[in-house]
Amino acid sequence: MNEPLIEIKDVTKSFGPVTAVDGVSFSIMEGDSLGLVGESGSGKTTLSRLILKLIEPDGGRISYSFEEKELRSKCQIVFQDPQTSLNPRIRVGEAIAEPARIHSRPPRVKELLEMVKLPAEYAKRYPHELSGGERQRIGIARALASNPSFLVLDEPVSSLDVTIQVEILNLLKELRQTLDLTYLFIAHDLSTIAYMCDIITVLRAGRIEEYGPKELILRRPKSAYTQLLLDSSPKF
Amino acid sequence: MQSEFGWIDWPKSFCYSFLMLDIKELSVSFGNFQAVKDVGFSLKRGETLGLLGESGSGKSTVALAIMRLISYPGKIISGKILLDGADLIKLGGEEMRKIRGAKISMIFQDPFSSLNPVFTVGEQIAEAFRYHQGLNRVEAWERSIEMLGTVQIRNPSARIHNYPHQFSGGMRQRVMIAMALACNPEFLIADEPTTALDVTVQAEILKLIADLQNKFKLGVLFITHNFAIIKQICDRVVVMRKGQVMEEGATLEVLNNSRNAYTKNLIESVKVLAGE
Repeated sequence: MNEPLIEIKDVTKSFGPVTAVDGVSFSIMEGDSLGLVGESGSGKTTLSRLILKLIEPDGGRISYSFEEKELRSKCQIVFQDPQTSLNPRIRVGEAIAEPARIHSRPPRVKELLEMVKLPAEYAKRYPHELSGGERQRIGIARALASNPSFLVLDEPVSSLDVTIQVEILNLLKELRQTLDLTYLFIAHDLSTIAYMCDIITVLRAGRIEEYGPKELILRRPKSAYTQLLLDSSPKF
Repeated sequence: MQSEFGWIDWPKSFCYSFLMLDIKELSVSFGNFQAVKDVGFSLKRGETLGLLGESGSGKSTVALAIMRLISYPGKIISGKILLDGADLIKLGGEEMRKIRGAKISMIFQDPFSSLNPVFTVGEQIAEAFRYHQGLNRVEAWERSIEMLGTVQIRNPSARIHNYPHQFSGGMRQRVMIAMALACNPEFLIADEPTTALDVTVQAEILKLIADLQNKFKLGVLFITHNFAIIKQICDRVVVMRKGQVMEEGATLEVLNNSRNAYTKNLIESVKVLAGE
């Protein structure tokens, strides 16, 4: 416990004239639930794609505590929009079985569905036969199929209704406990981050604005920008 | 704010005494699917009414029905939409066009797709003045510049020549608000106007809507799925689910003493996320 799982050092990535990630360094410790918060264009999605090696950085280094050939099975992602991240022509059972087959493991469709609390007969359904929340459960099951230790959750609940949001977040919390997962949780919404994470990184224009334990960031932020974010969120 | 522009600041209670937009037993169906069932509520001038519901609750359909913008196969099958006592459902296309923009305006969720990309924002705002108030090009243009200033866009006389893609999301929503309020409507329907925006920009737009509402004594129907926004800006709230009204009441009353199981569940979820 508490060894760095992933270390990010001075990572930079530009797209043409736009520097999306600008010299970012931080570590993701084993067992952490790290929140990455920022407004649109702050570089949160680019950073997550860099961590997953879906794109290569222009500068800097990302090192992993496991061998890089294991990266694809160890690190998985759950996407924001469960409507578009599932193939509409493939039954969800097949969608969940596929990653396991690629990583030459036995497909555990029934077990995975059970983990995300869906009945086994859902395997035969197509994505359009499911509700948004159910589809996101399938997205999570698919991410878990290769037995990962690290999950990137890229705005996993922002397109869902608030009652469903709470259900999905509670499921994710539970899975983290039972499967010993490490999370990088990306959101633009501080309240979701506060609910899910122990450590918060505030990203702004590709740079880290502030980084620290949740209590400190939410109660006594050092940065004026974090304060502005807190003040702008409608209070309930 | 009011005195600065020389507007008369009517007391809010005075404006409240007019009953203006009254929706009675409204039902809308799309083929066999009934999206809105016997929905009724009323909105007074100067008041902000929140229309709260999750996806598929029918809240946007109610808004489109009020604007008479329900398109085929959707159909208003029964009910009344009374504006100052006159039923909008009975109006013909031409008469309804005189109401839209002039009496009731609407702003939409997505400022990226609701402006025309091939016209400058000036041309789009000026169109409202020319159509509804019969102003000539020069007058309409001047009023449009003024309106951009009203929604707090800096350097309006230069920005008016810009195309929508030259504005940020928040700025585009300001342009939408300028278009909607150009002809002094009495009612503004705001359908999730800040959902696509960042929280800091959302806070600015909510403040702008509240300021302009106060200045123009608008009746605002604010549609959202966000209870926190309702709490922040709405006097009253109507909670919808599956096309029906679950509950209606003063915002704080509904928040604190809701008697409806669905509303309670919704409030509970929001509280969990808010860390209470």
